[in-house]
Amino acid sequence: MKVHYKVFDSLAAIEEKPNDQDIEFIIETKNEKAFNKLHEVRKFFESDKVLTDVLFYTLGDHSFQVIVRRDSYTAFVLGLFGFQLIKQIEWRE
Amino acid sequence: MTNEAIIAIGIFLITYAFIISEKIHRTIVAMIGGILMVAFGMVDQETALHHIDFNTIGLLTGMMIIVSITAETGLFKYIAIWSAKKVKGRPLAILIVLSLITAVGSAFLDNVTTVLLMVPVTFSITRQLNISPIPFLITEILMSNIGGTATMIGDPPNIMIGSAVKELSFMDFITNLAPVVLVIIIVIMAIMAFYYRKNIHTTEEARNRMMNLNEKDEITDKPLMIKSIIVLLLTIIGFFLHQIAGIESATVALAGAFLLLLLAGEHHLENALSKVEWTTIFFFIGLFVLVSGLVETGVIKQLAANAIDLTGGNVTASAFLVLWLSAIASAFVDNIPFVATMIPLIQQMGEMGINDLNPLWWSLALGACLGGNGTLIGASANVIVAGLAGKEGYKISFIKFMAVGLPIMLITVAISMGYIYLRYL
Repeated sequence: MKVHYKVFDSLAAIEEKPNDQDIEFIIETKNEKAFNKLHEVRKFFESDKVLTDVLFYTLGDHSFQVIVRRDSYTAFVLGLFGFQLIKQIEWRE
Repeated sequence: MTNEAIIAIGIFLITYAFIISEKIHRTIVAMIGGILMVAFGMVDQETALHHIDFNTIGLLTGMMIIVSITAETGLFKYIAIWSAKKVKGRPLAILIVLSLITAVGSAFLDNVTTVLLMVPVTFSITRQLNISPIPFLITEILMSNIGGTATMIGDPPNIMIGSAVKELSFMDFITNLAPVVLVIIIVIMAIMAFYYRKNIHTTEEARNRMMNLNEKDEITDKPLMIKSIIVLLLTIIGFFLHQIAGIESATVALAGAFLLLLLAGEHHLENALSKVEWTTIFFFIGLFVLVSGLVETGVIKQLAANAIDLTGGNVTASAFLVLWLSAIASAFVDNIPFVATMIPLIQQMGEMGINDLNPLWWSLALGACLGGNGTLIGASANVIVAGLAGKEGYKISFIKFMAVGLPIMLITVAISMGYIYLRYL
């Protein structure tokens, strides 16, 4: 089973690139509202007790690189869903 | 030796054994040890309270409040990423830069706080460059203990010595310890860079990614950051001037902390106070009372007499004994209880005829702080970094750390020995 999701296109554009141990996201926030929502997601993961599960890097122009450990992939996508950057999420075969 | 002295030694040794064994939290053990000293009548409650050094307690509490608020602003992340970009994302240069930031940070903030701020940034930078964080973490541990040696507020042993010996000011610590610490930093940084030069390589692509990062966005609260920097600078200036102004260093730190809380707003109060490491504060309180039992029953006096017999009252021999004993002891046991015991012992040696105690105080500071690098359990910062690294899947074992830490400790103590001899003896 794999996680599939749909992004709120008016808020953000999300690209995924899997590596050996991680999945790398490039997230472009399209307005201030989306930027603030992603900031909340970041705050959530940076205040938990695991340091390397989700690493955020700011690229300028309201874009972010996020390196997510494979075991934290679902938690991260759920985080984006929780802060309403993703509108739909489901398990698919 | 009186019965009281024998009971006091018994309580002290049992408490110490439990602290070393780490079976029960050291704060609980130290507090129970202190309470037993009072309960068995080794020292009465009034006298025990007088032995608690509230300057040490206030200084630690004040600095913890200032740092906890400053950390919220993203300032330390900004500095780390800005520095990494300044050296063009080259891993060896980043190793040096992050280690130097750790050393400077540890000189003015406590070591544990500094490494807690540096470890997440280190993980972040090394992951971006796709290299192992372990060489960086080990070097940061070493530099934290070395940097903390340079000032009166850098490491708990120095805070305790500065509080107990009123003639030693903040400036005295800098003028006497910073020169040798500077030499040690240069030597050890060169050794570590050479040692890890083949382990940390990255790709051109990863370096470019590093260069694309925007450090300015790491600052989460600019107005609070400016207030924090101003208060931090005022507090450090206050430390430089505290003796001239005739106020204790704890007053400076607490004034800084509550000025920052006043400027930041009361909504920060609960959070800032909850970030104070109360376990450490109570550990100190327990130890002060525990050692007071030894002082009041004459045990410390007897130990000082034995030390003078051993060295013949010679300052050189006494200084070297204190330096190496502190270093070796601090590599294996917590340096805070060790220093708490050594301070009254050195004071007693002064009363017994050693006129110039300064070489002994600097030997104690250098030995106790630098000795922490000898093993993974030598200092709180070591344990905390290893714990965080292990949790993230990067194990720093006792042996792996000691293979690097012990030789580094021996080199730094040997440099200190030369310095003490040339400057004071």
